[in-house]
Amino acid sequence: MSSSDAMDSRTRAERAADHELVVSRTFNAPASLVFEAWTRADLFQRWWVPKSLGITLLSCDLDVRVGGTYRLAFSHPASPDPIVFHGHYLEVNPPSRLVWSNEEAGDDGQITTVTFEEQDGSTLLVMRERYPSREALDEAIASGSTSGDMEETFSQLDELLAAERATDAPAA
Amino acid sequence: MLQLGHADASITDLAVRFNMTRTGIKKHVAVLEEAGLVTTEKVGRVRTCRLGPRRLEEEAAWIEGYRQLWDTRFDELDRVVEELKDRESGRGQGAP
Repeated sequence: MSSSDAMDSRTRAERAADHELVVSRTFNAPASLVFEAWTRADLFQRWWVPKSLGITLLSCDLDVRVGGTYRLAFSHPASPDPIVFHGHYLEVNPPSRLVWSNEEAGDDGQITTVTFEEQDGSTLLVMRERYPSREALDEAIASGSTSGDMEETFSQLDELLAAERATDAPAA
Repeated sequence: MLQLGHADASITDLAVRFNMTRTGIKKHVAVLEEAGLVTTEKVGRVRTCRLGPRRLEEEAAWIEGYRQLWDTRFDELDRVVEELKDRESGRGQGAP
């Protein structure tokens, strides 16, 4: 399977299994602190949208408990309307495991699982994005969504949201 | 193409899967092969089709873009976590 592991980088990414993307990195801190940075909205919004991506986080609501929802709204020069990501937290086990759904594309979105494994004061973070099928991940790759090319991602997403708005009640 | 992403397939498999004639599928495959998207190999009487080098390169490029996005995010996360660490150690020393 394809994998990517630039020599000078601490972040690894690969397509594992047929329908899963796996990203990992080790942080030089206890798991409790890395988990805190993922689950406190005021901390989360400081790193989730790096300035270099050219997008602005408009709002960030994280209700981190099982069944709780999250909602992130962004603005981007290429998109006239805010871009919204949302879903539910499915598992919340501090400081070792966090699972959420990605529902902006409907019920068929990927499920994201992040595990925080502490050893000798460092934390191995592994994030898995599991798509419902191999086809779904192939399509995500083919369409450019989820890629580092945010421009492309957002134009794709915009089309998706426009389609959703056409069929749904007015977006929240 | 998507079908070949799941598993290699023979011309006959693809004809059945897409409800097309073997001749029709052969034409399609020839075009895709020309473009480097599919490769085929004939063993005995069966021609097996699989994803070509270009399709695999595209996937590798996509995954590298995905990795870079997360690398950028994690660099920022690193900074936030370092701050939290400073806060913790500050507490440990009885500082504010």
